[in-house]
Amino acid sequence: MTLFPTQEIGSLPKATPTEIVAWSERLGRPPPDPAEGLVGTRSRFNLAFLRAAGLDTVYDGEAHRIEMAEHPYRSIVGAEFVGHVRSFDNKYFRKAAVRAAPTLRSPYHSEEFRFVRSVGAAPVDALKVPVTGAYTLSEWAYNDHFLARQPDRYRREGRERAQRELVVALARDVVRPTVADLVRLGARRVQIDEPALGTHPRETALAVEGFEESVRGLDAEFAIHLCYSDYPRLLPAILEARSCREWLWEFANRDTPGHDAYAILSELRAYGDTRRVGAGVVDVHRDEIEGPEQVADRLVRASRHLGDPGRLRANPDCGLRTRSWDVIWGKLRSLVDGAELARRTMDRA
Amino acid sequence: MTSRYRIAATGPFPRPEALVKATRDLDRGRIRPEEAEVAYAEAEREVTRVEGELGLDARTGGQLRWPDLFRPFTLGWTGVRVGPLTRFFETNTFYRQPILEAPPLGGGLGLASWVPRGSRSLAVLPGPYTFAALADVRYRPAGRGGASVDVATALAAELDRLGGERPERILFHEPMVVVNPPGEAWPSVHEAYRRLAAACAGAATSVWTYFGDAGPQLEELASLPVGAVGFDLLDSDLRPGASLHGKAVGLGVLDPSTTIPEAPAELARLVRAVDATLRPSELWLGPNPPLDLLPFDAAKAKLRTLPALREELAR
Repeated sequence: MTLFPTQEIGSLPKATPTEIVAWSERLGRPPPDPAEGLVGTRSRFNLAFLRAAGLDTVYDGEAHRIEMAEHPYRSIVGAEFVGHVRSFDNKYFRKAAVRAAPTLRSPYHSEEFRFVRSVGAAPVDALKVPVTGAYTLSEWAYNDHFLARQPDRYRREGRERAQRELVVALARDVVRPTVADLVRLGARRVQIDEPALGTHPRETALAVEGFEESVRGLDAEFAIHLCYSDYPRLLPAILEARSCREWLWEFANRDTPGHDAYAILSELRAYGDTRRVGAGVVDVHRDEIEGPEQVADRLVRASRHLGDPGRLRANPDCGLRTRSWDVIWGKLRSLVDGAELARRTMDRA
Repeated sequence: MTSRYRIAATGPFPRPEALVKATRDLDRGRIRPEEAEVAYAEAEREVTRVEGELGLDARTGGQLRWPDLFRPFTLGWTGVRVGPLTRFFETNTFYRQPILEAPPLGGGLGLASWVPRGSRSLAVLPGPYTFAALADVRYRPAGRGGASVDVATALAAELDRLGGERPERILFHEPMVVVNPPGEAWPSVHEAYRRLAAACAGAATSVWTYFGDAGPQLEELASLPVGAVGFDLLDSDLRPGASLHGKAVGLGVLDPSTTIPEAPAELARLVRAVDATLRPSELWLGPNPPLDLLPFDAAKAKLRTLPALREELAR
């Protein structure tokens, strides 16, 4: 099997029609038919762009989605949007408040998956569908409904109980039916995005409970994506996510001279965890483009710490939506070339 | 008679929706910096209006231009550079980690342009322990907690330069004191605050903790050379006999993890219990973690609890 297969991880920017035409020309491909509408055109373009960059596993850059929490909450009965919260600098997300027991209006990724599959950019085994996890959905909303029901809402116990009730309700009544419908439609690989999992390490067990409730008994390869978290604080509780077959973690953002971010993988090894790891080898928050040599160096170090290069995949840290198309192209090409360089390095070793 | 109960937004405000839109548009090249500046000025006027209408006893002006709690210093100090995007404690907000290549050298930042001034002004600054603990310290500081002392020295240089433009009140955010307590580094934290005390002469100072139980750290906090110690009412368990030795107390009473406004009567019961234990000369009431974890309108609605709570307590 080829070492270090490459994959994307999530969202891309929303390309303008002009950008789509210009980039299609640059890639030597006919631009998608605008008659399909901007969302469809973007989706088709993103798939072509990622494949042209040379990635093995792709999706459509979440072209059909506004944002990873807002998109699901638009389909959740019982939630309403209350305004924007700053994430960092001038980046914000629109935050919902859960004001009644959440239920699903309709599975919110099914049409998108049908479309992506119909494009035929990659075989279905090489399509990885990102789905926001129940824990992150709970964290990125205000839990008004379940909190208001707690007689001891001003005590820690009451707040924790409210949190659990929300996670379980979202997993059972929102995420699970959404994932089940994807599987019914033929999805083989599903990436559950839980970037909020690191926000309350003491609630890792709850996040794992939400994950398991979301995918239990469903037949697909499930992965969990985490980023910008203090991973050692999640161990070993996160390893109880038995239905997860791959960890996709951000590393490159914290891999700086004198600090080997991939060393944490030796802890997975110490716990005897044998799952695949999708290692973030390009930083999505900086414009500087890592050279293939740097990507290769990261993969080789990750291999050494994990103890098994055969379980590594190479990916960006997270979604690339905040970068320009030129930067994205440069980073993805480095990712692909760096993976090839790492393969040659490993062959020589 | 002046109430013993004082109210303030003890951290940065969220940006009003119009400023959210303007800053997004600026990033996307849809408006010019001058247009964004107009939006900033209007947002600052709006925050000032809200703080005035609610009768807050100390006013921050919102600190809406701060990219994060550390960035003015990360950008303005020698020996420090901007590092990777890093999660701010257990929230969905991030800061650029300060990388300290050497003991930071402060004094040239121009802090006056970042903080409010005048009557009732309250500046919210990073505490030196939290700053050092959240930074990537690449040099070898002198002794345990030495980086806190170095950060305090740089902060003190900035405060010295303020001279007559110093705010009436200076509040240092120190969540790390309760999240990852200093332990053996407490002597350095005391030294850090001694250095700051000299630079804060004439201003009322306080240390404000959140994101954890301040109970076990209360004795140490009480002996810092600051006028007030603030902590999270909902997360903190006071030990029997707890004391702040006459310091003023700050209580975080607004929870930004929900948009439901707190019930003043229920909060008053909890506040009175703390009041009875610590018997402070003055009791400040504010948010737990900063209100910028809420959208502007929800934060504004939450803040309305403060005057109602003060009224309830005065009964």
